[in-house]
Amino acid sequence: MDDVSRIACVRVEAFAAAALERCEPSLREQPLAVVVGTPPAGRVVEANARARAEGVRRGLTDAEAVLRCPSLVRRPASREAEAAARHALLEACSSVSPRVEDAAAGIVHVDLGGLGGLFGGDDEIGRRLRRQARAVGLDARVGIGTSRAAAEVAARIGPSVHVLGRATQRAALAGVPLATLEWPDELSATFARWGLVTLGDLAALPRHGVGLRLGPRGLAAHDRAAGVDRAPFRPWSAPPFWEEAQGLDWEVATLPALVPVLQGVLERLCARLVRAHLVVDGLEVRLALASGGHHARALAPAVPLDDVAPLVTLLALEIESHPPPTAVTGVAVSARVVARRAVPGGLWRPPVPAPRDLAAVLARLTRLVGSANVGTPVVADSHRPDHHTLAPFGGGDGETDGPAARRHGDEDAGTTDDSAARDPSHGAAGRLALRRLRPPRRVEVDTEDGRPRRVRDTLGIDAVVELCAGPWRSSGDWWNTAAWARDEWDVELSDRTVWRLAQDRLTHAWFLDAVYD
Amino acid sequence: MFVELHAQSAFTFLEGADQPEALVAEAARLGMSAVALVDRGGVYGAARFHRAAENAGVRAIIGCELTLADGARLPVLVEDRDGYRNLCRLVTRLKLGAAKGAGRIALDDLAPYAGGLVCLSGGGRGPLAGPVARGDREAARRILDRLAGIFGRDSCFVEVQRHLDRAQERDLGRLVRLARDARLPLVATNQPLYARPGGRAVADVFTCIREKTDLDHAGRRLTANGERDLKGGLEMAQRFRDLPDALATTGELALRLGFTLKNLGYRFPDFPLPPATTALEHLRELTRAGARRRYGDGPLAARARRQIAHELELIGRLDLAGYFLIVWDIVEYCRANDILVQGRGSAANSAVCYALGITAVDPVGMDLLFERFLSEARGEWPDIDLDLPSGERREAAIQHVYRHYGRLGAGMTANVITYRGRSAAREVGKALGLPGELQDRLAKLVSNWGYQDPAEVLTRHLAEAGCDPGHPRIRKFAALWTRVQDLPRHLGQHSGGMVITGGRLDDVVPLEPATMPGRVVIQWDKDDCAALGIVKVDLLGLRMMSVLQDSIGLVRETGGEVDLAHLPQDDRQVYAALQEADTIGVFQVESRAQMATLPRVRPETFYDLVVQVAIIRPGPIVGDMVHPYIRRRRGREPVTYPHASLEPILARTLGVPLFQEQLLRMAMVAAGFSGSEAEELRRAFGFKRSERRMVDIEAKLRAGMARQGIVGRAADEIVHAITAFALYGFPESHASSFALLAYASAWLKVRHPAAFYTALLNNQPMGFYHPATIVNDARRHHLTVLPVDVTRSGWPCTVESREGRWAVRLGLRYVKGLRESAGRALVLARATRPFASVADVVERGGLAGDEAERLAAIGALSALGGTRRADLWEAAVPSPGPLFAAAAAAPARTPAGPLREMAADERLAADYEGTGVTLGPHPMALRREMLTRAGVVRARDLRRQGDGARVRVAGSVIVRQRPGTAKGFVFLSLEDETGITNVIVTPGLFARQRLVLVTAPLLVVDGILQSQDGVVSVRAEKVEPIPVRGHAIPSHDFG
Repeated sequence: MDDVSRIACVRVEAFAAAALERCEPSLREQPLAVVVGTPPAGRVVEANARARAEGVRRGLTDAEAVLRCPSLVRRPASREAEAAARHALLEACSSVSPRVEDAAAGIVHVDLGGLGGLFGGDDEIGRRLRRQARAVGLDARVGIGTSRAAAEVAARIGPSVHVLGRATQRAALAGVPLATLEWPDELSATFARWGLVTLGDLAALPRHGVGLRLGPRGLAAHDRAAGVDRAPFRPWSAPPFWEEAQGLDWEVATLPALVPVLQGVLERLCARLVRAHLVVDGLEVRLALASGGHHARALAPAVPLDDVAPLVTLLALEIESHPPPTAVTGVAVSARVVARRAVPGGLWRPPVPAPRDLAAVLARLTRLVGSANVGTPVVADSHRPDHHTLAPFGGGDGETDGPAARRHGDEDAGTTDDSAARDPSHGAAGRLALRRLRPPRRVEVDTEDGRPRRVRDTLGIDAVVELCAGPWRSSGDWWNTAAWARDEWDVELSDRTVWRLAQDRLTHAWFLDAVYD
Repeated sequence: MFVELHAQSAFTFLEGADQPEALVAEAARLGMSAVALVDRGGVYGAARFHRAAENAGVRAIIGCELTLADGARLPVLVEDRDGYRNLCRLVTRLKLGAAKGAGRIALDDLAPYAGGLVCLSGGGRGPLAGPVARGDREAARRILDRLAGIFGRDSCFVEVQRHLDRAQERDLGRLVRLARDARLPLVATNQPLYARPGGRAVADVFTCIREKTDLDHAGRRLTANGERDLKGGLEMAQRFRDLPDALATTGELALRLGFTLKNLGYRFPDFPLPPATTALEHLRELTRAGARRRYGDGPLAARARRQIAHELELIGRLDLAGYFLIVWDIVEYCRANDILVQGRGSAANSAVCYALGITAVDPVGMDLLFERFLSEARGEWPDIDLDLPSGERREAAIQHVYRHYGRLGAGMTANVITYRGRSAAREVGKALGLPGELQDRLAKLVSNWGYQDPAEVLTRHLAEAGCDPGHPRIRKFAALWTRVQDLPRHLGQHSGGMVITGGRLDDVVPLEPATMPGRVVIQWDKDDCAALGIVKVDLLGLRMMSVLQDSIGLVRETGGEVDLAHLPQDDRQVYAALQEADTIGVFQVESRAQMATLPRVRPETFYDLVVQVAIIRPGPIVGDMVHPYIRRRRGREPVTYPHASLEPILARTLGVPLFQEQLLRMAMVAAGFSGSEAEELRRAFGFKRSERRMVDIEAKLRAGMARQGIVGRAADEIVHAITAFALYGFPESHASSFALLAYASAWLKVRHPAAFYTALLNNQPMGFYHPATIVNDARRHHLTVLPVDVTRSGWPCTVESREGRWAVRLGLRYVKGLRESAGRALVLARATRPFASVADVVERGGLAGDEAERLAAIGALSALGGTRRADLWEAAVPSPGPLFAAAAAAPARTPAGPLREMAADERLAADYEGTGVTLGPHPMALRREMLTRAGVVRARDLRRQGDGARVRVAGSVIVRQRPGTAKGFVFLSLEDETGITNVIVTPGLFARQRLVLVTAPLLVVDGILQSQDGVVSVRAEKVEPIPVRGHAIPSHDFG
């Protein structure tokens, strides 16, 4: 058993909502629900006090919640906001005691041993913990007892700072309803069947008997109800801070002048990472400006790296794309890291470019075409022509025969006419190449009996359709707002060119979709 | 001329998206002279297709897609009767040789069955499709040659389709070259899956259901476009303008395919007869002997002889003697094997059936009308339904028929399972990719109640279910859910309809294996069989028959004897119970509506009971016959007749027409109709109404009446009565058969309550009430009901002697979560030696999981010396297993255990949760003090309040009902410890308080007392839920 005498539990109720309020303080004045899932399947997972007062509860659908509280503000759950708030709460508690434990999201246990002389009595320490939490934007309740279990119960009931006296703690816990704490469904059902109503009812059962019947979970529940800690206190310590910075005695106004500074900072950072067997998964650079402000940029290399050179290149490209408004007076670079992964080379795989080269090339490509247009195209399983998605590059581990590549290879990627390609009766000489126009070009088409008769476009083409085949009709997505429908025609024009025309059957617009040659 | 030769309906399960009738209607609209239905794996929709086509003036060509060994589908069309027989045998062979829902055949195995069949090469899933798409010309040629070899060159056609698909067009070119080279004709089809282009959405949903995916992920498994509708000649001519021969062939082939289902070749089986005897002679002999037994030399004997002679004469003329003998044989088998059996339905109109022992109602004594059962005008087999006890005894009778007529000589009729209500909501929701939890909500939203408010469309309550009605997907859900309603989903088997044939049934209709071993099911349902003249015998399982038979056995156990055929017919106590509506558990008269009418009708004779059974039906209610009858019965209105000549017909029902037989007689007497003509009239105005036929028959009716001098208002009244009532009228014979069972069950309830309630509890679920209500009713009748006890209970409920009286002991079958094998093992183990402890029960009973705790929670282990909670504490110890059993048994049992004993409300909750019934205080009794303070009147005391008094009542809701005939009114039955209170909820109140009324298990109702002729009810003005702690009280909700 952990030999601690006084423990505080700092607990933030409805933590996911509190985390959002911390980022957006105006939400505190409004009923707020945290929802997961996309409409029409959105579901409330948490609600702040104002929303709860309006009847919004966990488990309601989005629409139900709005029905109960028309002014309800709904926000999707934010893992980032919760992680930041969790970290902030731990840091706030650490400012009071060096020994804190990260018990769960929004729950921190604080070892109060030896703090009396510094801060005064339990009540005073409790108030201090509340103040510290409030200072980081979180409204917490504090319970204090002789164990973590007791403190956690105290944090859920009574005043916002609830101190359980050493002598009265057992009696105070005994009267607390079991439903005050969360239990697994199975245990709750058993407790109900056994007629247990309070923590005292459960604690009064013989521990061995409970263990025999309910196993380790039963024993843990019994300890919790009796206010007994058996697991060791696991102190939390702040994760290492992977940042290097350098102040400049002079103002740097050009990129070539800044690059050696960046290189120096990154060399120091990477040396630390190498020793810790870590690689860079993301970088954030913060430039102090002569104007007194800051200019921050972030980047994520396509593959985790610990080579300084490509990182410098990437950073330089990023700053070149988004230059600071004034001269730079200081540089700070912080890294998001991942563990280094050893990847064996594939004996039968073709050689792949070095990660640094690949990363640099991708960075340049991204700069040219935008991040939304970089990745591995994957043909989507759809009748919609050209329907595809972009998957992130698989990295430099030589995975060239992945599912995306296979799918890509199997489908009509639009480089040749599929029927011609698959039909052995077409000799190589008879094959037509199909050149797709992406995006397709708008054309004007005159029709006769619904068939194309004449084609004109803005580039001066005006030709009569000599022969035409079609329509080849396709449509889909009728069940959602992206419904589409089109006809394709293969036409031979009077100038002997063979085109593939497409008509959008919803807008009736015609396009030159491809040219056969 | 284009004829579609490859249409597929929704009977190509999960592919086709329209009913056969819709395809026919569209074919007629397009001016198509014929159309072929070629569903996958059978002729499921052929009968309906045939009927619809006959009505629409379109010729129905029959075909089927056969699944070949490699999964390809070969369409074949029937040319003549030989071909049809071959097709049925072929499909039967491949279905019976495989698991349910499967069945494939090798191309070589087709040869013996190819006669009279024409094959098409199939569409995108045909046998040529694969090789042609691969460009494997040789393989395609080989398959085509084999098909031509099997079916003959003049019966093999290369099928070409154009769905505006690029790849399909490439394949079409290859198919044309293939056909030209092989000198085989081309035939153009569109292989429609739906009648109109809008059907594509349903077809896509079906694809998702079939492929177990949703629309967002189905990708190319969905069709590329919506071109699979039934297309007319003009559109097909445009598509196939380069292949006019393919189009012309369709018309020529359609002319050649002359077979229709009119020409089925069905033959009724021969009954084994004594030497040198005809079936009619044998029937006459059996009937004569039976009549002697039934009538002896009594006052009705002469009339009975005349009636029987008349019936036999007609039976002989219609050549139906064999049919009667076969039904008689089944009944005799049941009698010989101690299986209770009773014919129901219109057969009870027949003195021959009565004499043969098929029915139990004397049609001569009751003056029933034979023509309602059998007439020359009907042109179909008479309908004899036999009621049997549900379960094993009915199965024995079914297996007897199989044994007698052979596996291929008899089959169960199919029951087409359609997309309805909740299941449809779930499937459509899944296809639309809605999350499972939202599917559940939508499924629950789809009301199963009978009444549909005109304004109550699905979307109206979407918000209530937590859905956004404006969301596009939810709107699509509503539209698609509506569209899939009633479309076939899969084939089940009818609960008891059997068809038998003289030859092989698989010459007439394909057979399939049923899920139940030892049964085969035909591909048509009972309406299809009736329409095609296939004889059917319904062997129906009726739980009340089981209750009666079980009761007789239990009475015997208690030393008594009951003979249902000789029950005293005028037992005053039985009629007293009926008059007081003390009828919970009594067949046919236990419903809320029946109980609200019984004290007003006050049945005193058997015929009153016949009327009572018939009066609470949609017909009399909609036809507004109930109130006039009751007013006349109570002497508040004079008994009058539309015309004096009708007095003999309507006198028994006080001038109010209640039965179909009365309508027939009215037509016969007032308009001089023959029995056959009268039956024709009933059918013309019955369910399958035809405007033209109705006009013709009404003119004939009026002319007939005019000849008898009935004109003016009297004639109008008679016409109105007949035409309005023909749709809903209940047959008197049917009511009489049911009244017999009603009387028998009421008699057993009054005279042998322990046996009756025990049997009733053993046959749940059945009837109108939950077991909890039945147990409370038994206790109000001072019958002791004993709890489940592992030292006393059997698997079923049993009768047990308790202080010189018979009591009901609840059986282990009532313990929720206890396996039947474990329950029976407990009984066996107990017989070896008594249980010594909870651990002993667990060990020797082989209890697993939380079964022991379930027993402990309801007090079933208390006889071993512990309390419920002490037993729960003991039972929660996991079994140590056989190796450590001895060591584990060593510690002595703690008598009390550390858990606090259950309070009354905890016991109540545990009882409801563990068994669904409680033998402790009623939930309302536990709250009585509080309720009394709140001014709540008990059910028993309600009668003391005056009509129109403002009252407050409370109780557990045991029944919620919103009947289709009640115009949106909802009826609740509230039970307290003293009885049941009926509450009437207006549509307005229901709309305002829907959630409370539908979900709250306990209610307080403020309202106005209505008391009329001893029937008391409360018209609700305000309802409030009573909080419930930890237990749900079961209720039955009905449409």
